[in-house]
Parts: sequence; C-alpha cells; structure tokens
Amino acid sequence: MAASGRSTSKAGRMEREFIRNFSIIAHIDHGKSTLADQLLLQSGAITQRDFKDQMLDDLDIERDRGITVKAHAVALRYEYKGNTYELNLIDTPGHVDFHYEVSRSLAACEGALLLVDAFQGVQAQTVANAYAAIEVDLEIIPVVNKIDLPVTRVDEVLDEVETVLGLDASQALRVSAKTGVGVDTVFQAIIERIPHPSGHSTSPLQALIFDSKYDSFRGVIIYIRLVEGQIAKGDKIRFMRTGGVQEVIEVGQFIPKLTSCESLGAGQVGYIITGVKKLEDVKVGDTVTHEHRKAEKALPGYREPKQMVFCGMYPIEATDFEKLRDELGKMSLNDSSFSFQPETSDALGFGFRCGFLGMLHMEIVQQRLEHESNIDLIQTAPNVTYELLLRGGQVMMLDNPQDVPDAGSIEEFREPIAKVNFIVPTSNIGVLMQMCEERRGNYINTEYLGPDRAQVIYELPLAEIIYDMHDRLKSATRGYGTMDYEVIGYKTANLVKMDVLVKAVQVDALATIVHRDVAEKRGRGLVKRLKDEISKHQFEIPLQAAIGGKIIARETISALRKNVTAKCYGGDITRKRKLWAKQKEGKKRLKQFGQVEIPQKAFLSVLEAGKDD
Amino acid sequence: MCDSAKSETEVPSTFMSLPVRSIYVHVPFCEHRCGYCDFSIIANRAELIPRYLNALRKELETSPHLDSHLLEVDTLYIGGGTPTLLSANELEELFSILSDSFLLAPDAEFTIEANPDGLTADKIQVLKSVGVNRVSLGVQAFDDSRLIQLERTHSVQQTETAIELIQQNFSNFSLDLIFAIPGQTMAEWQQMLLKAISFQPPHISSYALTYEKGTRFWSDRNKGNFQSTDEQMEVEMYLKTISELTKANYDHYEISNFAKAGSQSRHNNIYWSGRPYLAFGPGAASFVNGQRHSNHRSSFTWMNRLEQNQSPIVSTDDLTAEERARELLAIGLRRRQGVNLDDLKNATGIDIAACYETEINDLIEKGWIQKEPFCLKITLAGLLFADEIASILI
Repeated sequence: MAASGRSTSKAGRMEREFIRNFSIIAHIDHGKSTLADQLLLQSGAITQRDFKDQMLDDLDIERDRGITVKAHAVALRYEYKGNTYELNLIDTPGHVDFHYEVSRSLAACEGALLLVDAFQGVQAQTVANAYAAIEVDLEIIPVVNKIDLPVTRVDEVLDEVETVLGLDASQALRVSAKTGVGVDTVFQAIIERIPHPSGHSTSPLQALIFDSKYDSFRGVIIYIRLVEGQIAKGDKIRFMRTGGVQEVIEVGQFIPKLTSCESLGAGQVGYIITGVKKLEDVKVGDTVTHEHRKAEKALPGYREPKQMVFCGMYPIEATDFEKLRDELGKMSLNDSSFSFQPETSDALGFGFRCGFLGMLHMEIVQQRLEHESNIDLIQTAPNVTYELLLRGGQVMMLDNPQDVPDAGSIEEFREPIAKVNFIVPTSNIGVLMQMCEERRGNYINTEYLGPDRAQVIYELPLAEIIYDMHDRLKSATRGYGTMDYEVIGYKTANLVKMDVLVKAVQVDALATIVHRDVAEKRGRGLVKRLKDEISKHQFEIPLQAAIGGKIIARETISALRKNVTAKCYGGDITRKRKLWAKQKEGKKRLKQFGQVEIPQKAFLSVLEAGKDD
Repeated sequence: MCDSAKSETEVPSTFMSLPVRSIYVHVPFCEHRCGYCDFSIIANRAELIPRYLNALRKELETSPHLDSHLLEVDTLYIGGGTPTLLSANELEELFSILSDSFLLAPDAEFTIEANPDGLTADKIQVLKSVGVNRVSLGVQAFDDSRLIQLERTHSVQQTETAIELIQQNFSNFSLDLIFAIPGQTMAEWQQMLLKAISFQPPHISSYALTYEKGTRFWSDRNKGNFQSTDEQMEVEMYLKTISELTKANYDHYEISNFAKAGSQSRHNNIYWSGRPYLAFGPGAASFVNGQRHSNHRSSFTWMNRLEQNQSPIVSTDDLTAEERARELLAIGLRRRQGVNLDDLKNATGIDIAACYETEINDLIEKGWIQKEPFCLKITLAGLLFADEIASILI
C-alpha cells in the first residue's frame, strides 16, 4: 500500500527500527532509474503530475546518456502494517569509471536491490556492483526487472544469479519497473529483509559524509549518513579528518527536494549545510562529530579516487585560455574527482592537462564543457598514468607522453594493469580471446554461466582497453558482450615514446607511448589514419612516425589540385551553401601547425588500435 | 572600370523588391539513369507523364507566388531529366499549362534541354511554335565507346543529326560536354573540343565528370572497379578547355560555361547574380523574397503531395541580409566578370568588403582572387578552388 501524501511531506527524526537504507545496483539500462522513479511515485514522494522521468538523474548529461554519475539520496515514507517507515534510497552510478562513487554509496546502506534485466541477465557491471555490495556485507535482494517484455528468460537469469554471484535466487522478486507490477513486493522486501541500522541516537555523533554538492546560493550541501548520535540545527560540529569546525545552519532530508527539519538521528540519511563555501573544504569519507562531545574515532573513510586517464585540452583560440581555466574551475567545483593543471605544448600552445577517473568520465566532462562554454577545444588523445623507475632510483609518475625522459635514464617503464571481467556469448569467446591477445592480455580464467554465456577474465594493460575496447567488444559480440575492469597494479613493460612528424615538424601533441614489439605496426596504422584525417593541402605533406629519431613508418598526403563544383545552378545553390557552411564549421576545429591544418579528430585517431594496424 | 558595369547582366540595386521574371520547370523523365547521374529523375516510366502534367498544373495553380494574372517573364528554362522524352502532344500540353501562368516578354530567352536521341522533327515543330528559342543539347561525348561508358542512350551519329536539325531551326543553342572520363587522354579530349567547336555552337558547357554519392559510378569507383582520372590530369584538361575555347572566340564567363558574344545564358546568369526566380517540378528550388524554397526531390512524393493538396515544398531557408551578401559573393565569384562590391552593398545593405576584409585579403594573398576598382574577380588559379573560396566566404 502506498502511503498517503500527509506522511511524506515532513522530514525529521525517526526511530531506527523504522529506518531502512538501501541502494539499487544494476548494469546500465537494466532499469535502475525507472525502478527508482516507481518507488518515488508509489510512496507518494512525487505525484504522477510532477513525475519527471528519471528524477534522480538531475544532470542533463546523465539524462542524455541514461547513466547516473553522482550519488543522490532520497528519503521515502511508506506505510506498512500500521507503521510509517523511512526508506532512504541512495543512488549509485552504474559505470565502471565510477567504482569509487559506488563504494561510498554502498557504505551508507544496510542493503541493496540487485536489479537484473529479465532478458539480458547478469552482465559485467551486475557482477562488479554485486561484489562491491557483498564486500561491505550488505543484504542483497535480487530483483528481476522487465518481466513485461515479450521475451524473457527469468529462470535462466535466476540461475545466473546463483552461479555467478552465489546469491540465493529463490527469494528473488519479479517486477516491471515500467508498469509498476510487483513494486509493492519491493517495498515489502526492503522492510522485511534489510536490517535496520544499528546505531543509537544517544551515542556521541558519528556521521559519514558520502557526498557533497556545490550550490551557488547555499554553499556546499553535505550528504551525511548518521551512524551514531543525532544532529540538529545550531550544533557546533567538527570534521574529524580535516579538523574544521562549523555550525550547522540547516539540517534536512531529500524528499526528494531539499526539505529542512529540526534534527536527524542515528541511522538516518540527509544533508547539512554549514558555513563551508568550497567543495574542496569538505572531504567525502570524512566523519562529522560534535565539537563538544566528540566521538572516539572517525569512521573508516574511503580510499582516494584515482585518476587513471589524462588528456590535454587546448583552446583553439589562444585568447580563450583564461576562459577555459574558469570553465574547468567551475567544472571541478562540482566534481572533485576531476583535476586540471596548466601545461604547454609546442604544437598546441597553452592548455591544460586534465585527469579523469576513466574514459566515460572524460567524455562527460568534455561534453559538459562544450554545452556550457563557448570555447572551441582541441583535445589530445587520452593516455594512462605511467610509472617510471629512473636510473638514480627515484620513481616518477608520468601522465603526459611529452614528458618521457631520455631512454637512457629509464631503468623501468611501468604501466597500469587492469583485471577485466568480460561476459560474452560462448560463441564469441574465440574472437574475444583474439582481441585480448592482440592487446597483450594475460588470460586468467573462463567460467560458464550457462550453456550460452561465459565470464572470461583477463589481465590487460589499461592503455590497451581505455580507448576503444568497449566499442570493439560490442561490435564483436553484436552488442551482447559486456565488460568491467579494475586497476590492480603496475607492471614493467618494454614501452617507448613514438613521435609523429607532420611535414618534417614534430607535433608533440601527437606523441604516444607504445609497446616496442608492436611499435612498427602501430606506427604504420597511425600515419595511415592521419592521412585519412588530415585533408589535402595545396602542397604535399609527408607524415612520419619515429622512435628515438628513427623513422619507423611514413605516408604522404598528396597535394590538392582542385576543389570546385562544375555545376552550380538554381537547385544546387541551397545544397552547396549548406556544404560550404559545413566545411567552414569544420575549419573552426582545425589547428594550424606551420602550414598544415590538423583537425581535432586527428589527435584522437592516434589511439584507434584499428583494423588497419 | 569593372566588367560587371558593362556586362550583359546588371547586378540589381534593390534586391529584395525585385519582381520575379525567371522560371525553371523540372521535367524528371529519362529513358534510363546514367551511371553518374544523381539528379531528381525517374527512369523508364513514361506512362507517368500525364500524371506529372496534372501535378505540375496544380503546382502552378496553387503557387503562393502566382496570381490570376499572367506573369511576364524574361527567361523560361525547361530542364530535366529529358524534357524531349515527352511526345509532341505531351509537349504541347506542357506548354499550354505554362501559358496559363506565364507570358513571354518580347525578347524572352526560352530554353529547353534535349537529348540527341529524342529530338524528332515533329517535336522541333512544337518547340518552335510555342516560342522556344534556345536548345541545350546533352552531347557529353563525340565517341561512341565513351557514350557507352557513360551509359548514354544515343550515338555520335544521332548527335550529329540532332545538331543539324537544331541549326536549321534555332539560331541559339548550347552543347554540353563531359571531360575526365576514366581512360580519356588529353589528345582525345582536345579532339572532342575541336569537334564541338566545328559546329560553331553559340554556347558550350563543359563539366568534369563528378562522382556523386548514391550513383553507380560512385560505388563502382569506391569498390575499385575502375580508376577515376588523376586529379592533375583533370586540372590540365580543364585548363585546356579554357585555352581551346578562348582561342575559338568563346568567352569563359562562368566556371563551366563558355559563350560567343551576346550568347551567355541569361537564365543561368539570374542564378549567379542573386536575382529571384520561381521553380516548379520535383526537386526544383525557388529563390523569392530572400527565401530559398526546395521541392521534394522524389517525383512520387512531389506528385502525391500535390494530389493531396499539400505543398510540395520540403524546406525553406530564410536568408539574413548578411547570408545573402555572403552567398552572392561566393556564387558571384564563379563568374569571371567578378562581383561589383558597390552593387552588392546597395543590394544587401552589407559592406562585405569591409566586413570580411581579412578573409578577402587572405584569398588575394593566395592568388585566388584579385581586386580591381569596385570589383572582386576570381583568378585562373582561383577557378580551381572555387568551392574552397566559397566555404571561406559563406
């Protein structure tokens, strides 16, 4: 039974027996946001009238791409067997780049709904997220979603849940988040099966900061989960790790909009607003306690998010440099896992080296920049962070291929290695293994999930998978294969820097780090792709790939002799004008190197470990 | 003094309020589709001609730019497709439909496109009787094996007969030629030019063979079934065209067009000078009141829409004064007489020379255009890069 509107309208203290804190974890597109919306709707937190698809995804980009990036929290009120319960739904991102954010959301919960598509079954991110939840001892409730689909394979999917994840599937729920069928059993299972939180409101305050958000009017909104004690407006609090002391200006919950209240007690989830104005002054994972009645120790925090992917971002117009700095600054205000530092390139001028959690994170930041600012950008090919052991014994981290020191001074060149978990149709195992071998993969094992699907685990250099492994996997498996990875450490490899010369001029922004054994092959592929990307000029353009001054591959772009349409009559003018306008637009994304104009796409093409390699 | 001041076609001074005095009618029928053709045509469906004529009548009757009065026109151009695929009777009906809406001015230019194989004596009589005074003949090549290669349906013999017939009946006509056909040598092309000149046509259009997406030539070339002519060779053939025709007293007045004195295509000059025109038939595009309207390119959709009392127009572009000015310059530069900047300023209110000084100076520096008093002109080198110039100026 859904609760009446009355009991959902107010935030405030609640006894721990009536509190449940949970997350929904799922592979992308398995219906997490739809289920969240249904829970909001059926609990009366929102009405059908102001029901907006995917309430929890409030960034435009998230909505565009159907993924949730930032953790959110919503308090639902639900009447069950004569009692009002507070069900706190803490949202988690579903993508591999955001493992870190998943783990911090899960740490604020006692249970999780493991959502699995009734047709697609267990996928790579289902596995990764389920393991993360098992690791922190959450009560996991398997939920098979999309039972309204015309074709489902519920029994097989449940088998997969048991064999792959080792969960008891006999108690799994069957729902359609889209139509609402079975959603009442979800509420029931949350209340009956997920344990209530264990803390006491009378103990000294221990509240975990699991997220924060910058609001230009109110400053920083701090998302907290109270483990012990209570917190009220006017309290003097201390951040146990950073040591800052602040007064609580406002305390409240998300129902689903910010709703203030007098106080929150042990087990509850909500937010506080203090005098903190800058996002960087709040450490996610920190513990909040009272200044005058301190907890003995801080809660276990989180490990720092690691930036694994870097790229250069340069304004095409040099005068946009300061503007770009401002925009990047704004971006990092709301995303502490993104970093940027000024750097210079001989080829591209002044720009920034930006660090991201992964490729998706990079794309999101880049798209947001394009949406929100009016700066034409050149982005260099992304690269991973390398570790160098120098002859002198010191270790250096390297996130820009331009900074590779003299080969003579390097003792060991180390690259990050990821453990990659693929789930593919058994008929595609061969092609997957071939792909992994080509990328210097180290086979670990294969586990059959049923007659038709298998989980294959490989260790692969991160550099070999970040750029296009996912796309290649999708096309090799006709969309059925999924993958997930985590970085497990660094390994020494025979790596070298490959330079690119365009019309005899070295373009530093086109340099990449490659394995020596495949360097010639990669070099040939690279100059060939560059040849396709750089348009003809009125002169010949030689393209060369070189290692340590030795040319390993070359191509030549022949000179452009003409560019003229023979016929331009009445009906042609409209079409021609559009074509010319498009060409003109294309020119904006070109950067001039000496006499040669290189388009943005060329900078990214250096990484496509393509068919032509 | 700039050539355009004393040219055959003056640049208009108040460009928005100019009355429409030019009409284009597209006849989409062809015996078959040639391998290089991406026009809006339907091949081998002559039985649809009556349906087409009814739809055309309806398009004229419902045109928002025409009223019950006859519109007097200076140029009327029937293009295709192959308009002469229509029978003599069908041609008569076509002209009767047009005469319900248009009146030819006393000195009007009335052009029809024709293919050598469909141009019979009875059709020529019809054309003459309704006032056609210019024929544009799709010759393409004077070599039967090249004609087969291009998938044309006529022979050189038919072409020669057709030209003779035209010469007997019309003083003004034009020949269309195609160069850079795969395998064609320079010597062969030169022979072709001389042969064309030998008929002393008042006008010649010469086009490099192009490969358009969606054509058989395009996909065959991409599959590697044949090698297209080397770009350098194509350029040399083009330059040879210019020198041969100029030597034979043809004025190279637009990128692909050559005319004896007084024989420039008045209709096509309307397009390049930014004056308004109305166009009817599938895929036809009008330019009127500063707007470009395009009809649906599919003949069937065009007919269906008209039959269901819907507008055949599929897109309308409203050009701002600046867009018009840029376009006028970009397209106007295709004419060798150049663009008169004062006229352009008067016509659009935009001082393009001042607004785009940097772009224009860059182009001058590249040697693609040159500045003369009041006028910008394309150079011989610039002709080869007219689209590059346009994409910079547009």
